Amino acid sequence: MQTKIERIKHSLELDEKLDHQQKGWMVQKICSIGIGIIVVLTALGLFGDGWLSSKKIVINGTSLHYEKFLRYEKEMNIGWAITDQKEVQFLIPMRYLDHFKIEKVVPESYETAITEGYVSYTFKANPAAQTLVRFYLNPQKTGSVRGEWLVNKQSFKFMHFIYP
Amino acid sequence: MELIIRGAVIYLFLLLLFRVLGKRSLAETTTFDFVLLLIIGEATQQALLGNDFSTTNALVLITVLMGIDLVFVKLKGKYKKLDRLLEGTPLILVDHGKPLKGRMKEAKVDTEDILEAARISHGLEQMHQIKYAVLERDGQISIIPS
Repeated sequence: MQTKIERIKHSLELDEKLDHQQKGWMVQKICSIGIGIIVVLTALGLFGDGWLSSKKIVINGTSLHYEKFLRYEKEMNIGWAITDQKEVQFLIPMRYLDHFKIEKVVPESYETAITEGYVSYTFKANPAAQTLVRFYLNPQKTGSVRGEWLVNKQSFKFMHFIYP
Repeated sequence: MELIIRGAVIYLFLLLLFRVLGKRSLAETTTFDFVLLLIIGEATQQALLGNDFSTTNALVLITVLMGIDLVFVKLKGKYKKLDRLLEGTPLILVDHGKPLKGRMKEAKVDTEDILEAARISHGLEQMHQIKYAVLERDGQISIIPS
């Protein structure tokens, strides 16, 4: 509800610019709503670590869990759960890795190699049990990043947005 | 270059935020507000310095921030509209002992704030002893006795 602003005549040598004040109050109210919306969206994960940010993809018994929204130089991880495989090979595009620094891979890979445009990580796995692999990456560039990892030749496409 | 961008972004963001929060937000600094300011400072530090904690980085950053501030001071002096936009304008809150409730509500100032300012600055006891109370651009309330 609009508050009635009193208009007065005074003897002070000052220019109130009441219309300017009223515009300012209006902007303040709009911005207050904006701040509230940002707080809610943050809680939901629009800026990372939350319901809006977290995503899971499952293809042929291999599941991928990752964050869509990342922050510059804040470490994140990409988790994989693989079943029914004796050996697991991850092919990560070089172009994707151009945006990240690999901090560590858990567990350590059996073999690491560089092939045409990809970095390859190979793991020995027990087909009777689920194999969990986690890549810890540190974003080094801001903006949108698309990635297409190959896990035992199965393609997984995903996208991140890295906030500055 | 990145340091200048970081400094400018943080400077402008804080400028906008504190302008949006209103004049009284910092003028009436309570103990908790002071703690809040320290937390804001701590949160800002990382974004400003990144992983470079060298003396050079700190000195360059301080120079950048002071430089941006200097530019704004010059611009505000030159363009009155920008000055009004960033600093606001004074607002009369009490007229001949009568509190202007609509203005006080919008400016988030209550009667107690005005009476406190009256007591501190002039030792006044009652509202009717105030001719004018003005919310100044810096958020302070100045009192003109009857």
